[in-house]
Amino acid sequence: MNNNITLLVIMGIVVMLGLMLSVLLAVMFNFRKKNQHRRAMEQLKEMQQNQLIEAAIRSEETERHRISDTLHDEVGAILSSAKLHLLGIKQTTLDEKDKKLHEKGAGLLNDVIKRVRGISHNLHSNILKEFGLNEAIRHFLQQVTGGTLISTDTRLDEAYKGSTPEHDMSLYRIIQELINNTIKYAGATKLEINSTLVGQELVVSLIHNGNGLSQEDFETFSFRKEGLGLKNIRNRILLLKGNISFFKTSETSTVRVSLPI
Amino acid sequence: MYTYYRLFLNWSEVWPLIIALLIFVFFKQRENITIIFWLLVISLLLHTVATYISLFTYRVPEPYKNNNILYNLLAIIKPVMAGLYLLKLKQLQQYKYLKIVFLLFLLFTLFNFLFIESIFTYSSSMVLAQSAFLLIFTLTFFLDAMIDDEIPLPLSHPAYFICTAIGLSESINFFINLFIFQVFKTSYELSVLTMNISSYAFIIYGLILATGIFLNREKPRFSPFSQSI
Repeated sequence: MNNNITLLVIMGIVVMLGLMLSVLLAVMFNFRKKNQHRRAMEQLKEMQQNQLIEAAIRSEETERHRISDTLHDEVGAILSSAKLHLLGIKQTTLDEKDKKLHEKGAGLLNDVIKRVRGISHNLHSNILKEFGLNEAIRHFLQQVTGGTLISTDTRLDEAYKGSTPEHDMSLYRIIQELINNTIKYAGATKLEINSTLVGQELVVSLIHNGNGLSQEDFETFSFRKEGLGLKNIRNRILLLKGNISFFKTSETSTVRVSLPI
Repeated sequence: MYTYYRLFLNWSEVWPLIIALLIFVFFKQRENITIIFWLLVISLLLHTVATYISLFTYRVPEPYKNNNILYNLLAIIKPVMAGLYLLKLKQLQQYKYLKIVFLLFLLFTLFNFLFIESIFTYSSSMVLAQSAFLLIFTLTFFLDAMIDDEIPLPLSHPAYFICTAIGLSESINFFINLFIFQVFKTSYELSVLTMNISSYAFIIYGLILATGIFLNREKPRFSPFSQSI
């Protein structure tokens, strides 16, 4: 009788404890499995999102190339032909008033041809392909700020020899968009672009004395429907696994883009 | 050494609760576990008096020598307060049968102490009902955590520690409570062994609760630097 009770109590305790421990272990394994599943789903979602962004960016680049080619090969050719025709007009047969109109027309046509070529080059980014990112940035900056009131300065790290074409293209587009925004909205009179290669990371800073964006503004505007430029910047940064930060003081505004290379 | 070991076991229903309560006192809590705080306060009071009576019976006046009422009260208060805490969790609110179990437990308690047993004698059926009640609640909580496709509460939530503490101690105590009178009648050695096992179960209960409360801390209530800043 004694032994029976002892055995019953001890066995009962062991079995109950065993069952409870099994339940606890099962809960823990179950949680681990759920966490793994959730992480896998998140990764898949992120991968799909990246693929979508990549496809959008690629199609945007293709479209830019198509427009650039059309401008260069078709519109440019027609404009050049128009210029030839205009120059073919004998000036001796024209009176003074028509001569002035002819000169004005030729000047405007020249201006249009230059601008179309400029737009075509910007869209195509041939300079980026041939001379690298630093030169492309300098060229673009000179092109968009030349003749304006903005004074510019560039201090680009020459140790950076370029990454993959897609990577450099995306970074170039980001900088293009940031420069355009500074000119359009910030009202800056000084713009400085610096780049530094830190280990395996390229850090590009845009510093200007205008009214730039704060980090909060960027987060707000980049999610708005009309903020297409900022949305593109955010997507490209996301795709390149980089980081963008905005700092603002009463005197200067800084945008810092850091990207792994 | 043996004296310290005896002291450690004799007061096993007190010091783990003091540790848990001290953590409550020193740290603000992230999740609201006020019911558990009051459960600990009441348990500490009742267990301290019950342990004192059992250890120093000769010092206690005659009318107060019986500590059975305290254990009976604990067998009511613990399931009621732990049950209320668990029923307040969103995770368990969907299980209507738990409310019925809660109600049945209250009815059983009333019926038992009004018509069957006296509250002044040790009620093994009451402690057994307490164990069964708490096991039903904790097992439902764990099973729900497993069957739910999403993770209902994060694993760091104090409810997991509370349920683990209660689940482990009650699963150990269930068979002890079931055969408590037979055990006492059988042999002295077996009685000592089961009481020691029960003490260890209580230590596990208190320390797991203390861990859960510690992990649920938000910030210290008293900062030594707050005055100097």
